[in-house]
Amino acid sequence: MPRLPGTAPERAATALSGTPDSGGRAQVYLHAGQLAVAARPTAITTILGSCVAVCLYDRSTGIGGMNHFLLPYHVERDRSARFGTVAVPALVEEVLRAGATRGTLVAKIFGGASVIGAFKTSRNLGEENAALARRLLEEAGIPVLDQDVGGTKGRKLIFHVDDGTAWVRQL
Amino acid sequence: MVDRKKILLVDDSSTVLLMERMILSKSEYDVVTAKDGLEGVEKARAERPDLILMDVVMPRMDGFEACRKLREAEETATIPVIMVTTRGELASVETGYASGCNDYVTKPINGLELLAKVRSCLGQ
Repeated sequence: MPRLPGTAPERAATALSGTPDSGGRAQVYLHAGQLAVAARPTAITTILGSCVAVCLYDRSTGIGGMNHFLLPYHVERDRSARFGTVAVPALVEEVLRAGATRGTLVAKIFGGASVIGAFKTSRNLGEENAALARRLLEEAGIPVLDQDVGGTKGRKLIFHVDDGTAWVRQL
Repeated sequence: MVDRKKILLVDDSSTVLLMERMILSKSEYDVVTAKDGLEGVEKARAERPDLILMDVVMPRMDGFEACRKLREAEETATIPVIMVTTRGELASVETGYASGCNDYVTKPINGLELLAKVRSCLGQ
């Protein structure tokens, strides 16, 4: 059954327990500082601590992708996808280049944990990463359908690019 | 007076220890080192560091076991541990979390990344 934009079933797709059925999808493990985009059914897996992953998918074409960045702002000598200011625009660009339609792109955001808890520290790297992702997606006009960010625990994330299903387990 | 934070580096590679020291020298930290997990646990109990950087594959006691020992002991149970792993070992990052580590970085170590995570863990 086709889903409508932003409906409850999409939000509920972020399962919190159990192991997802890959459904014959290709499997990709995403390392920190990388991004992956696929135009065929693919399950992308990553593990997040204070890092953040932005998941994009286009419900009209089934094209999607994920990044995994470590720090919010790039520096002059390093403009790699380790930084959110590079990784988020690059993911949008790559997904569009693969054939996605900007008007039907939606996003989900995960990660951004803080080891000692946000209330104990003035500078919270995880929250900075998550805030940057939200801001850049808003500036790009891409709605965020779901997010599971913050807290003190790491996360294992599996994202199905073709239907936008995200599975998260706290570690 | 500035409150200097103490960081325990646990790695059997003197090269990695040197590199971590060099990166951390950009901030004012007191650094203590250990060459395997067993010594790391002992140093943690004796030195009570504010943060531990823990390698995974080490002789005598690996990083997972050391993490579990740290969490079992009341005096070291809450010390944040950042696991330092290689890309090939990333499948074992889950084991690291199950053992009690709080975050991870991958080798080759990126100075900006390590410093940012260290400062965040220390609330700086």
